[in-house]
Amino acid sequence: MKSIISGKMKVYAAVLISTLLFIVFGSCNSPLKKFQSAHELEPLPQGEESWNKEIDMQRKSLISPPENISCITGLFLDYAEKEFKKELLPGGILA
Amino acid sequence: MPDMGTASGYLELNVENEASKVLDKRLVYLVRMAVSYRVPCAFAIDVNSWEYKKFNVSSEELDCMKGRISPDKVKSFSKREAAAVKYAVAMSNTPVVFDGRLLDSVRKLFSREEIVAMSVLAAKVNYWARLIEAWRIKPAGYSDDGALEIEKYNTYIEK
Repeated sequence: MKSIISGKMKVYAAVLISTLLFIVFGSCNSPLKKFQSAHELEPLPQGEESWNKEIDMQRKSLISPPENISCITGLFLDYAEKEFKKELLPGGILA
Repeated sequence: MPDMGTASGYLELNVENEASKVLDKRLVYLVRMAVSYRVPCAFAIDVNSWEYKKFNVSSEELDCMKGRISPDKVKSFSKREAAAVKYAVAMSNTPVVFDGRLLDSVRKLFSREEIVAMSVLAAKVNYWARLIEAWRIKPAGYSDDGALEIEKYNTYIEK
């Protein structure tokens, strides 16, 4: 009985150690996140370099909501948008 | 009205925590100072400026916070700091006015996350500063440094 428990413990320990090593080495080797300005992420239409009156009228906002919104935030946002029956861009950007 | 107190407390705690994860500490401090002086709110100036020396805010930068020098003219500001101060001040003006050059510099110098953090932080300081002035709350006495000129920023007018 004792040897079965200790055998299981060894397996758990091995899994735990290998997971930790994977995380440590993975984080060491992952490339540094490169800075990306809002302009680089979302260039202005037609290659415009400057924010002007026309763009200010056309664009819905200075920056857009992220493409992936976390599940819980998305649920709250959906609920709020159903309440107001409109797209809530400020909420989307904050998400 | 405990719910309003709780909501305000969450706003304070979460915005400060999130902003400090995304922006460097001096930038956060400069934004807080700039809004406090712009509104103006003596209590907010006191709370948000008393450690200005710790954040290496020079006397010229302090004059900029008071609106006496344009952020572009302050040599010690980085481009990002000057843009952040201008953006925070523009948000705090009434009426709110933004020009293309400022919006361009914000979009080109900051990431999407940084823009969100910076503007929410400035909005949060505006929220408190305007609320505190409406409630006529006097400075808490964090600083007795004459350079901050806290006593000059009184919003009461005799009619």
